[in-house]
Amino acid sequence: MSRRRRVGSVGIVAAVVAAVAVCSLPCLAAGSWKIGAQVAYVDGETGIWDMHDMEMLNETDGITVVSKRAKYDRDSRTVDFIDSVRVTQSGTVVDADSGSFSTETNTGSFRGSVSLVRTRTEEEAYDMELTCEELDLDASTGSFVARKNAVLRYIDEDGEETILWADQMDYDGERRILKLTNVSRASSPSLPEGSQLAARTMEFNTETGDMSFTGLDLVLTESDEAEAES
Amino acid sequence: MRFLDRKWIYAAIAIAVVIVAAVAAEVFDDSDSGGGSTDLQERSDENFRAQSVEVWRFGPDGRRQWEFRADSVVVGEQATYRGIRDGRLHSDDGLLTFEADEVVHDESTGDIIMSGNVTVCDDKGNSLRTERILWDSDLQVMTCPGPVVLMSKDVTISGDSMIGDWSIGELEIAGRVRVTWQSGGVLTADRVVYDTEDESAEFEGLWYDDSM
Repeated sequence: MSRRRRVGSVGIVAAVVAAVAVCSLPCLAAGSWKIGAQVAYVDGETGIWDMHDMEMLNETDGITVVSKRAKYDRDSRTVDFIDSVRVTQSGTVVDADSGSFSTETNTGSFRGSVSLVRTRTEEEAYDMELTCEELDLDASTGSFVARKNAVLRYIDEDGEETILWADQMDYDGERRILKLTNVSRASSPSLPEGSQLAARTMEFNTETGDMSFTGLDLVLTESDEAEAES
Repeated sequence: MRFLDRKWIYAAIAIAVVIVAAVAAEVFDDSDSGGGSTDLQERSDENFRAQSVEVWRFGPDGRRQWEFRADSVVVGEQATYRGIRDGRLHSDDGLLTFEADEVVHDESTGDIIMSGNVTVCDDKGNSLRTERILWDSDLQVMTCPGPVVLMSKDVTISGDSMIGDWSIGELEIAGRVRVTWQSGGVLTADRVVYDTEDESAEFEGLWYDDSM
C-alpha cells in the first residue's frame, strides 16, 4: 500500500545525498612513472612488454599500481592490465579485473568487477565503496565515470549505511561535482522504511553541499506519508 | 676413410695457421723474446717491429672460426698478438667483426682472448665494447667477465658482464643492467637475455623510468 508522490525539493533526499559529499577518488596527477616487473618479455617485432607481477609507481603523488600480468606499449605509453589491477593512493584502493592506463595522458579505464574503496581516516570518518563494471578515470583531474550497475555505498561515523544505485556516476574532479544519472534506488536510514527514491539526475557539489535534481520521485508508504505530514 | 682424409686435411690447415704465425714471428727481432704474457708486459713496444700479420683458424669441421690482422706477435706458450684490426668471428648467427689492443691465442683449444678496448660489431650495425672477451671457437660462446656496453641505433645497453652464445644468437647480460633509449626512458634490471634472431628480450627484476 504505497502512493507515489512527485517531490520538488525534499529534505529527506538531502540527507541521502549528503552521503556522497565526501566522495573522493585517487587524484593521479601527472608525474613521472616507474614501471617494474619480476619478469618481462619484450617482443622484438611489436615492442610490447609482457610483464608478470607488474608494479607502477608515481612517487610524486604516492600512487602504486600493481597487476599480476600487464602489457606495456612503450611507443604509446599505454599499459593494458590483463590479469587484475589494483590502484592505491592515500587510503583509496581501486580494484578491477582488467583495464588500461596511459602514462602519457594519465587516463585509464577499468573493467569487470570494479570497486573503489576508501576506508575511514582520522580526518575523514567514513567508509565508502563504489562498485561498477566500467570505470573511466582521468587521473590528472581525479575525475571519473562509473557505468553499469554503479552502486555507491557510504557508511558514516555512526555506522549508518546509505546506498545509491544509478546507471552512471560522473565525478568532475576539477569542479568537485558528482552527477548521478538515472538513480534507480536509494537506501538510507534517513528514508522512511519501505519508501523508495528515484531521480533522472542528481548533482551534488562536494565542496559547497549544493545539490539539484531532475525527475525526482519519492515513493512513501501511506503510514510513512501520514507520519511525514504530522 | 674419406672422412679421415678430410679430417687430416683440416688438421693440416690448422697446423698451417700456427706455422704462419710462427713464420711471422721469425721475421721479428726476437733477441728479447722470452714468451709468456708477463714478459710481454715488461717489454716496450720498441722491441717489436711493426709487422702486419694475418692469422686465421679453421675448426675440425672445416669451418673458418676466426681471423684477424695484427701489428705484432710474440710466440711463446701462447701466441700473443697486438694491434688487432680487421678481426672476424664466424658464427652460426652471422659474421662479427672486432678490434682490440691484444689477442692471446690458445693453440691447444683454438680459443682467443681479446683484451684492451675491445669492440665487436655485427652486420646490423650493433656494437659491443668491453675490456676483455674470451671467444670459445668451437662452441661460439663469447664470455665478457667485465662491464659491457652494447650500442644500437636507438638503444644502449650496459651491464656488469655478458655471455653470448652465437650458435643460437642469445646474449645474457647480468648485473646492473641498464637500457637507455635515445628517445628517452631508462630501464634497469638484474638480468636480460636477448635473442638476436627476433630481437626479443627477457628481463628479470625490471624497473623502467617512463619520464621522457
